[in-house]
Amino acid sequence: MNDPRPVIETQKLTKTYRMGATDVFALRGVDMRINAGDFVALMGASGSGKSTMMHLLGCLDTPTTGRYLLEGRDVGSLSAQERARLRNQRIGFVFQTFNLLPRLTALDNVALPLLYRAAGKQGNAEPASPRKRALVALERVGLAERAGHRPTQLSGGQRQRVAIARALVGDPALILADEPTGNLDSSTGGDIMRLLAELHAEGRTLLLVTHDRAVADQAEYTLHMRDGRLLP
Amino acid sequence: MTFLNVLRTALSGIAANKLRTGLTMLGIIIGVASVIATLALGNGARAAVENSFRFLGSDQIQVSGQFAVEDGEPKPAGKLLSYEDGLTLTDAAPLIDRVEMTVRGSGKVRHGQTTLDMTFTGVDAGALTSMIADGKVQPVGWPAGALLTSEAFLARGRFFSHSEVAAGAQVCVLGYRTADDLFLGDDPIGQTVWINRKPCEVIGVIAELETVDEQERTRAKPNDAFYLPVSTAVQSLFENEPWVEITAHVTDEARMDEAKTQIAAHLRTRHGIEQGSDGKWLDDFRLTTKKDILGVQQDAARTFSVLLTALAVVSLVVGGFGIMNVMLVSVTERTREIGVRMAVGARQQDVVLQFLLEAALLSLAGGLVGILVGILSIPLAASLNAGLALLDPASIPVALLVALATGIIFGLYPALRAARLDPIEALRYE
Repeated sequence: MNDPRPVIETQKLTKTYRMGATDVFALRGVDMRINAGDFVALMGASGSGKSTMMHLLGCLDTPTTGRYLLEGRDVGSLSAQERARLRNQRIGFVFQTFNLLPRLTALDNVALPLLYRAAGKQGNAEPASPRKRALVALERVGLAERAGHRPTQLSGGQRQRVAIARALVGDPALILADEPTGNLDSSTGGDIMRLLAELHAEGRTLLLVTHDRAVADQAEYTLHMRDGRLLP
Repeated sequence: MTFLNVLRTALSGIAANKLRTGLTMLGIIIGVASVIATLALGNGARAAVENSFRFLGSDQIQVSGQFAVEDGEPKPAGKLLSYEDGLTLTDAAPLIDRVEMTVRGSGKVRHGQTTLDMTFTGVDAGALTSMIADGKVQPVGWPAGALLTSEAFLARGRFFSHSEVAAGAQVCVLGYRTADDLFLGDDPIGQTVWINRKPCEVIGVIAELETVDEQERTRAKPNDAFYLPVSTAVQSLFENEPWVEITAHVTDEARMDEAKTQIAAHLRTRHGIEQGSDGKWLDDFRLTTKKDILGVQQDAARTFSVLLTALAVVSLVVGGFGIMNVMLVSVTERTREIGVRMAVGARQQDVVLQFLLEAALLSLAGGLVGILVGILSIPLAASLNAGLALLDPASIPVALLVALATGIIFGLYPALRAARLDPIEALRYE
């Protein structure tokens, strides 16, 4: 990684919501650059625009004005379907509330993103089956022996590990973690942060959204947001 | 997402709420079961009519009198059909090449010291053949499926010849029990019986008969018959004017309507029938062809079908709204799941497909149970409809398709609603 390659590049990104009769300016022109292999924390009080930023970066939403390049591709010009494909293949989400599907086993939860990939459409050589790849991802987070358990049979820390395995399984360009330790006690939260640090050490690009300074300090560097702007 | 995975997802969605699923399917089950049962009723009625009017050949026109019921007694509306009406028909109606006539009347018959009240039937020489063609009665113990002959229908003697019918000969043929009652075991052939003080020679005895339909056997009395040549019967034997029924054979089946017009014109002249104020003829007779009967039945079946279809549609719509309701509840309950699926890359069409398939499976399962319930209810439907209900095999795929279509139509709106959810809102949903 001598020549840093940007995974994320935003230029004058704005987002305006209409709430009743008033416009809410959630983002007021954000220029952000995150390079491949970075482990970045994005901090800010609630209402600072960090959640909106995460939704835009995660291709769940589109900016009002400005440009967002994900690996050089302009996301703003993509259709909903193409954004769904980007989410599926280039982005891994980790949520505060884990968001595992209760009726699926840990293994099926991890395999879920792979099931939404158009099977064989690229005409590539047959990749390993979704369940095999899911098991590899579960092994990576140390939960292979819990593959058959449902979320309710797992502890909070284990659930978040399953969620991280789900984020990893598609080999994304960017892992977006939104308060990943917010629902965990400090010891379990520490385990999760160590796991994220390990992933960073393996060369993954991570963006950690948090309002907790102690958590943010474990990232390589921290970006601060206030009133819809990135602080210098 | 492969179809198999969508199917698995949809199935697990259904299995998660068994009671709710079962209740939702109830509407579809009732709808589909009523489709099956009602088609069976229509099918059974159709088969029965075709069976019972087998005897009326497609070249025949049945001419019968019109009757009005007064004080519980049938009274002729106008003039009765007479023997002469029939005899003159072949000359007056060029399309009719021959007629068969039957009259019925009652009176007393005496032999020696024995006198019996009797219903006499005046017939043509071909009556025995007609009875065989009718197929309603057979000699007692006749093996099923074996070919019937005129000889098999006669216990002794012979039936009327054409010349006897033409001449009005004083001869008669007795039913099996009539012969037994009058002659008490003696041989009746060549003996004389007295009808209204007129002598009549017994020339034959019909074999002991039973109805082919076993359920009819307690009611029908085929052996109490007394046959005379129709000419003899109308000319001299009856005190009251008897009721004549005429069966006309048409030379050309393609010109049945024309033949009917010819018959009607002839009878209107003979009976002096006038047109009513609305221009309609005030006929005292009725002309019936096989096509008429089938047409009436088909009309009835069509009315029946329309009614039953309406019933089925109502229950399916109710069932469909049940499915729509349960799917809307399911979409709401699983808002977060939908958000997660979208976050990991589900496209709108993936979500639509998932919920549509779930609705389709729900209705299809209801359809399968409904078909089973429908088939099991056929005996019940038959008992309410004089035994007339027959499973129509074509109704099974029809019912399945109808159920599937119901699920897809009523599942579409909830599925689209799920697909249109904003993933951000959905992920936040508590």
